[in-house]
Amino acid sequence: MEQESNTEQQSWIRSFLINLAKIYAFTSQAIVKALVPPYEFREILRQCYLVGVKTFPLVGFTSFLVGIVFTRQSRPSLLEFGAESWLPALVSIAIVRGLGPLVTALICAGKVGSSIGAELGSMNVTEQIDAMEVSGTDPFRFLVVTRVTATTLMVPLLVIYADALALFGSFIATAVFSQTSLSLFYYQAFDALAFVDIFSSVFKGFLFGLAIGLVSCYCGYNSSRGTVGVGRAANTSVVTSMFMVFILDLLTLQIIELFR
Amino acid sequence: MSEKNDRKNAKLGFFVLISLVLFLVAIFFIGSARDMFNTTFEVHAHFKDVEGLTRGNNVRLSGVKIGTVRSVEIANDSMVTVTLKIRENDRRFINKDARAIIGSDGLIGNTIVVIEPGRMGIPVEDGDTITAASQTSAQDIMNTLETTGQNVLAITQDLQKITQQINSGEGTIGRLISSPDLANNLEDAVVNLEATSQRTARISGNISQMVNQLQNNKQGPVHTLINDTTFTYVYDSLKQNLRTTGQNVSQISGELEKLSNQLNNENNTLDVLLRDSTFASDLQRTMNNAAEGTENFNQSLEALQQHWLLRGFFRRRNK
Repeated sequence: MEQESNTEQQSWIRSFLINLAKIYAFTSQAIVKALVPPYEFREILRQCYLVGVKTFPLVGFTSFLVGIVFTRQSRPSLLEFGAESWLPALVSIAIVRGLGPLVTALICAGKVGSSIGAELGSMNVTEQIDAMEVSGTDPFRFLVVTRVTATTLMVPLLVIYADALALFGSFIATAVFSQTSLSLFYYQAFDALAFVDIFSSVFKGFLFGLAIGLVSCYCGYNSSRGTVGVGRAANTSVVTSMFMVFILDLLTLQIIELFR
Repeated sequence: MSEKNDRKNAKLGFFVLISLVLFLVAIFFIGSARDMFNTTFEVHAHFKDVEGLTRGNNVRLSGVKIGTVRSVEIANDSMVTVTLKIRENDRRFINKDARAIIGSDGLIGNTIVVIEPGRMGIPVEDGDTITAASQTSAQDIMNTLETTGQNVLAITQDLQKITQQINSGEGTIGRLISSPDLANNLEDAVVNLEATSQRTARISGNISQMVNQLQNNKQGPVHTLINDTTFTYVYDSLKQNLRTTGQNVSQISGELEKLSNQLNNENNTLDVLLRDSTFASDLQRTMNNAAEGTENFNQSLEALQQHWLLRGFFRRRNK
């Protein structure tokens, strides 16, 4: 019994290490192929459109709501201290430094990650990837690099939109209670921010986009055969992407604190 | 197909463009808040305690933000050097004798530097060091509040004692509340006061009536004093006469003083008359002799009138 348990443990570790090597190889290949020509510009633009423009309404509306909710929930606590005038500063720091990139990444992980995972998984199941290889097209460059590039480039832009709309939602929520003007709100909001906050927000978006693209493509590209594999690939893409987003959020926080 | 792709690419381009504009606007707003796009100059101030002041905190003049804190460095074990980055446009308001004070943005707000502009009239220059002054810190306020709280406690205890004494009938207020005799006396005093006030009212009414009568009597002195405009001239004339009289009296008194001085002079004739007793007795004797002589002369004259040689002459003269 003990021998069986040890064998299982060894098998799990071996499997983990093999997966780690595969992930490393996949990531390296994606980065190298993204930098080395030829480039699939048309496909990259198409993916950018899908990731950026098509995701924008969902990200924008969600961020707007997050801005309202966060402001309304923060206001009573500040009111207790008589510090209601600090609300724009508090909200802007919270949104730009943390909430904006996080909400965008989670939405993208859910929508884009699952889409990429399922799409590549189904292509894998239906042997379309093998067919592409046979036809002389580099499936990795066409399917993975384009998607990873698109998520890496578009998520930072979505983060900028998310920050702006969340701040606007916050202004709406503040104006309802405090009769604050738009100019005063934005002056107080930006007075509390530093350049490093804006750059860190965009940098986080860049990292989150890269992680979502890589994780989703890896899960879809290496999905097991069969219909179950497609669902599992989509599910794993979302879960792992979200998990990676939180880990990266913590790591970037530590790095950005060095520049603050 | 190509047209559809173009439309998608245009949407994507618009999406990217707007996001870049938003990014640049954010950069611009933050830069404006940090005075990145304004010309600035630096001044230094040495503080003993900066109370948590950090880089980026605001610098204010008369409540208006004019710059930010550029750096906070410990110069030695008892001094912290703070470098302030201030807008060039506001240099003219900050004189060389300006003072920098560590303040607070509200009771629990950020630490800020408050500039008092000074009165010298010479604007501060780039790199100058201005005087640092300390202001009441939050800790000082807390200490003051603690002292105030202790005082309030002591006052409350005293009030408690006073209330107990009042309740037990001690002291004037206690007796006033508990003693019926004192209350009766007070009531009597109030009644008397009321009667007095009634009498006072009556007297004031009489006085009012009297004043009315005086004013209404057109031949009376009061009416004349108040209403007669010519009385002013009379009064002025009277005043002028009084002034003249006063001047005359003053002149007379001066002359009398002069006379008195002359009288006091021993060489003076009058002084001899007044003071020399020998001369006085001589004079008295002379006067007696003169009276006696006059009497003898009168007798002689009567005798002459009776004399037959001169009787006719006197009769003719008397006629």
